[in-house]
Amino acid sequence: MTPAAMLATAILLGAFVAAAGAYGLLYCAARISDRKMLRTGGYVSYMGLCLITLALVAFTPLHVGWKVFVVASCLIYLMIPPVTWRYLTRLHREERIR
Amino acid sequence: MEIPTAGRSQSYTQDPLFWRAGAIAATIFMSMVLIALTIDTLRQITPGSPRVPSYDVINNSVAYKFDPIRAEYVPKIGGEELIFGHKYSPEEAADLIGKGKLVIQSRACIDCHTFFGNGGYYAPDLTRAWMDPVWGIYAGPKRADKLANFLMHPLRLGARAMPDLHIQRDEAEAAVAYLKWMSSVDSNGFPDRFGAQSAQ
Amino acid sequence: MYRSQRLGLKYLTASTVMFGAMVAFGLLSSIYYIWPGFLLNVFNFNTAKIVHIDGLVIWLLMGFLGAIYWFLPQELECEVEGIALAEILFWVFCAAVAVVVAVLIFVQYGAASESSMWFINQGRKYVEAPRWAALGIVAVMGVFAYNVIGTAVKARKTTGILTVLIFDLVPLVVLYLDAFPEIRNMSQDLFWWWWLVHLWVEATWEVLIGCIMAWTLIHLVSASRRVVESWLYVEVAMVLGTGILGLGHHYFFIGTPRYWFAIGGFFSALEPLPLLGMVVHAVYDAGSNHLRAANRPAFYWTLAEAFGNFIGGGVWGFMMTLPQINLYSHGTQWTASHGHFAFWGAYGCGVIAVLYLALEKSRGYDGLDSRAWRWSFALLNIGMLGMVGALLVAGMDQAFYERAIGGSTWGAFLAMEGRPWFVEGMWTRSAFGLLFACGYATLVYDLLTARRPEAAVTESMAAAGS
Repeated sequence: MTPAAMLATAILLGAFVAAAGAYGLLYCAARISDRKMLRTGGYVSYMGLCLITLALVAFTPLHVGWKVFVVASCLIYLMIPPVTWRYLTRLHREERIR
Repeated sequence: MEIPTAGRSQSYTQDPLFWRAGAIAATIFMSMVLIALTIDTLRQITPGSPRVPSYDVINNSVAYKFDPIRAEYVPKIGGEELIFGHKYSPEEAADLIGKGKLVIQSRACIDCHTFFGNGGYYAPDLTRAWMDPVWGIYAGPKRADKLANFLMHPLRLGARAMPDLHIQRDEAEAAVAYLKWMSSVDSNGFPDRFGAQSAQ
Repeated sequence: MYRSQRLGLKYLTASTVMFGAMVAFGLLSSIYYIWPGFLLNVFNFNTAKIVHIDGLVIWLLMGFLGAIYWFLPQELECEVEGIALAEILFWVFCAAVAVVVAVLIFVQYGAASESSMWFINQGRKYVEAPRWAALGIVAVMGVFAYNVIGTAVKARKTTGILTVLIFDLVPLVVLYLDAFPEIRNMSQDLFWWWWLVHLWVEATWEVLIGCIMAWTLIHLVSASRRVVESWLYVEVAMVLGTGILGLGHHYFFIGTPRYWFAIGGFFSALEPLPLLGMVVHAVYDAGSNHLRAANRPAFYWTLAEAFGNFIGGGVWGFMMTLPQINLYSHGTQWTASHGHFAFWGAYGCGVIAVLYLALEKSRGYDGLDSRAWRWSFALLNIGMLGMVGALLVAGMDQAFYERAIGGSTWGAFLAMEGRPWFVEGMWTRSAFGLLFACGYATLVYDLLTARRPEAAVTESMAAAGS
């Protein structure tokens, strides 16, 4: 890959995980405070993650295996915050019952 | 706030023991795979293997060329090209390389330089230092002598100059031999394009 | 207070002092980049760096030991087994560190001989301490393991958190045995060296800090034991499930086979996933407590741990972990950027949280707050962000020009030295390093002057009235 493509790909990869983190943070914050702005921020972050995924697939010279990995990660990152949140909520609820 | 519903059956993912079993299983499985790969990797990096030449490669020329099949730069071992005017037997070469490693460790070279990209980032990477274009005009014993002289009496080049680490002649020769042997190791194309710009 | 807790406080104090030494030598190391010829042949960069990076390992290790000696007797409700021996070894440990640092500063290096390896400098990154000191560390860790396991045996009980810790101690101690050998073959040397470094900081240390944070949450916000233990098992499963084979991301270019590209790259790319889970957990806990806890600094440093770990380890790591990128980022200031950020987020913040918790509990305060902790929190974190940002810019410039275009030759290195973004990056790093050092000084000031929360309120009211 060209030096410029290398840098661009690296930045996109970092932005990929950062967007996933922003989505996770805003999703959870919205669950706590139930504010529309936070929910919207969460959706926007995940849309951003999807756009970055698209850019990685369409515009970087990564091998197809890595592109599949990135797409799969994008889907998994969608599920991590709600699944983890549900798990934690149920865990704490059962603890309160005890 | 969710209303607790006692009596609803618990999903197995809510059971801590499920996750404990998962942690144990994951650790054991991944460790076993790592051990299996370690056994194979150690075999493949034993000196004399295709990836890591035996220590007496210091008697041969070592170059770094682009391999179109692998699409990366690969070390190329050539014909006889002695260093310090001596042909080292395998045992002598192994001893010399061993001493070279002691030199590198005693002076903590890895805390300024990198070896295969690992170490300190203050000074250049030394993986292919033997083949650096700056020595390009010298061949064989002359190149080795120039390198050894530099180690003993470093020139103050650039902002981050090489210090004088009181390296003796025998230590310098051992370190140079080490650098030559190390430059023959197949490191999957690292560093990429070494010397290509000078060649252009 | 248990004797073990007093020992824990000693270790935490020593840890704070070593943190300061690390900061001082880090600042010193940064000066070499911006002042040509600085202390050349008097005190070279490599020696300053050795004290900096070994100081990092020691301050964090002492922090872990301090935390565990603090929490263990409360966990098992009895004094720690073999505590007298541990107390002696604490002083031996401190003396050994002092001797090693003194030899590094005044002797620096020896001839290429076994005696240099035994008494001066072994010259392998992070484990440069001479073999006699490495033996000392094995003794300290061995007694520590005996303290932990022996206490559980004596008490005839264990807990989920403690069991995880005990199992983690075995690889923790065994892996350190790589601090001894002098291996001729550099590929083999680095292969085993990465077993120690990676399986410490991206596996066993992650489990260790997970256990420490579990105890911290119990004592800080009265978190339910069952909840933190459940979460700890999830964490261990995810972190070790990805981190053990994630070791392969260090095996791309050291002479090892190509299959490590796929294995190391894949598992390493999975490593951010559990870190996102930790962020979710941190936000959940923050929300459950409405961002309030009686010990505010400990609470905020615990939150910083989760976020710092994700960004420093996850975001920064993912940028450079794929082999195609790593070919160029390998061994540059980009690596240093990731290293600083990941260590800070994953471990530094956690140890500071424990410092504040132990401070509060040891003095019998019911909570902790001050103005100084906010300043130190801001200065340390902004200082760190500035440093890693500067190193990232310089590192990307280096990867682009020195590695990708220049081919990593000496000539490319010399050309790189004068490049504007690199030079500015080095100056900026030093400036933010100074900010970080101010944050450290403020942290120490706060730890020394911390008052009972009511006393602090009374004082500020009195000051307002006068």
